[in-house]
Amino acid sequence: MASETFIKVENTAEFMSKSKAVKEKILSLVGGDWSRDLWDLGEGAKEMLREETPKKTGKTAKGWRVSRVRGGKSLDLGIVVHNSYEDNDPPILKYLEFGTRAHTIKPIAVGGVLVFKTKDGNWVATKKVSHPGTPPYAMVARTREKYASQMDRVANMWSYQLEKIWEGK
Amino acid sequence: MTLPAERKSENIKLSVNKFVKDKIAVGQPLVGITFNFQDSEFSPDDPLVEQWVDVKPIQEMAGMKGSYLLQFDIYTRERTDTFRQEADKIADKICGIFNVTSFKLYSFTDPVTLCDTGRYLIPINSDGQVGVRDDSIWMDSVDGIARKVLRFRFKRLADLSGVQYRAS
Repeated sequence: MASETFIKVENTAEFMSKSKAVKEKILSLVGGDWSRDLWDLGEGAKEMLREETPKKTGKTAKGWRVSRVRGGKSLDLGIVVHNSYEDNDPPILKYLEFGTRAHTIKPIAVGGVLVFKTKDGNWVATKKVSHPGTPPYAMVARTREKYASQMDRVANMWSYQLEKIWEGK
Repeated sequence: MTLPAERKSENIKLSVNKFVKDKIAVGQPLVGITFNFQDSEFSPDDPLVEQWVDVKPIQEMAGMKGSYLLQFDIYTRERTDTFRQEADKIADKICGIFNVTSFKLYSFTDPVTLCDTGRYLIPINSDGQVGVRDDSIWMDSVDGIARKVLRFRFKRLADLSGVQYRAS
């Protein structure tokens, strides 16, 4: 047997007026405090990622950005933390996050040589490099874990505020 | 003051290893694949080895309001796995192993007679889905070897509940 739920509205005018007031309050929060809460979280995540990303030239670490995501509706609220160099070739960010196994680096051109500067500051030319591999730094995974729990806290605060608005407080 | 058995990183790590090893030995779903923590003859550099799995702990924070993050690197040689189907099959099998709500956490103080701590580890991803992997990504093939990465997150119930831990 199907169950049915009814919301009984005794005073339509009062209900409509309350709904309108609630909507306005929510819209002002979305455009104000909630938007700022979310942005602060994004900025925090960005700073953590910048801190945790290994630095050699520092380019990848500095590439972290926060952007707003808008779906076109006034109630849409979202941000995304991304890296300007995530689509680079080679995908350095992926290598740093997930690591690489020991591999051989050869010049692309046949008969070419690899020229690079060593840690001692000397320039070296060679036909082949045996790279020992990179450990997975997992900076994105660790940041995601830390900020997922913070996002939960913010979402709980928002739902509490929503309850209060509906109760007219 | 020592850490209780259920919070020791070593016990958490070895309990996950034991869980995988038991699954491999009992049901034998992963025959022909060598794991670096399971196989004494693990040698990916041997050209006869066609597919293998390298397992790396990334973060050991389970039992400390965090999670134990484990990365599985699945490697297959492109000469026999041209379309990377074998790597996908191995990934599905590993996902199948952890498609459970929880498994036991043991104390490995005496590795011969394991002691059940009475606690459980929960495979849970960062979206809160239980029994589901965290990341799954294809990496570029290097030296003719294809690579797929899987990540799993494990937590104790206490890590999820938000209860403040007090050392005993």
